[in-house]
Amino acid sequence: MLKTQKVKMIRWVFPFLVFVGLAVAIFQIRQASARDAIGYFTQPNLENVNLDKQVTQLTVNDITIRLLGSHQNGENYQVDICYTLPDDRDWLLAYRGNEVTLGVQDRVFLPVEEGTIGWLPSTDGSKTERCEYLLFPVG
Amino acid sequence: MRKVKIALIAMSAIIIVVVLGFPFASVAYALCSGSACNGTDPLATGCSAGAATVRQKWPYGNPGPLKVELRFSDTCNTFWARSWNYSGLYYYINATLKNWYWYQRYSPPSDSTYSAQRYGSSGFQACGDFSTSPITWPVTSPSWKCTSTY
Repeated sequence: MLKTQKVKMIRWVFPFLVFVGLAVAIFQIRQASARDAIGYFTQPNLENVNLDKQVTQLTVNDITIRLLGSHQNGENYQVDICYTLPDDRDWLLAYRGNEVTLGVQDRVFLPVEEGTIGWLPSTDGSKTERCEYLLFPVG
Repeated sequence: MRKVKIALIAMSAIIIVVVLGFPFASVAYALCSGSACNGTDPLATGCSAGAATVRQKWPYGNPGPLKVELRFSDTCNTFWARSWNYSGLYYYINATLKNWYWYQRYSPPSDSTYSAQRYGSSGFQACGDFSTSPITWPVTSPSWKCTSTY
């Protein structure tokens, strides 16, 4: 009787251990695939915004973009901009690099660097505006 | 015997719920803090959730095959480097947190490679490079391969 119960126990425990091992393997695989699960979000989608020395601030779809200033910085031309954040995600002006351009007369330049100057918080401490610089290689 | 069966079934059900419900891509809590985060994986520790790119640079020009980012987590107060392969081809991609950590791998196009993280508040730079051969050293020069210091 005891031997039969032992055999029955093994029949139940062995599949359970296999199941646990499978669960651990699935866990590892999902964790590994999540390593590079990085998103590129496009919503909310904004229209094109053009700023220049005459128009230094524009609001489109509740997003305000302010041109703080610009100056030559070595071989690059630096433009400082602040913009409202739609939500608490990591919003940037450029992602692939062709989303923001500098127009000088009839030439168009793409940035070689974008950097954060800082964030402006609201009264509740959440980040509402981000200020950045863009470097354009004007030569 | 019957009680053992019930216990095993219940444990199996719990394991199913935990494995399927565990948030892998966005862990809401950090598994390290302070200098204990040094040298650790920013994704595995949960520090990458809600992180920000504070510097991004196109070292080979824009448009170009490579983008280098300096990432910051205000959950963990850590920095790390991340490099993107925008070449359209497989290349070895190196991501270096200057003076601290580097990592390289054979990367498919439109994929990223990142370094370990370092605890701190400022003074960090991210550098990167791409090649047809493994880049098994930290990329620190020339300076155009690195972001400016945050």
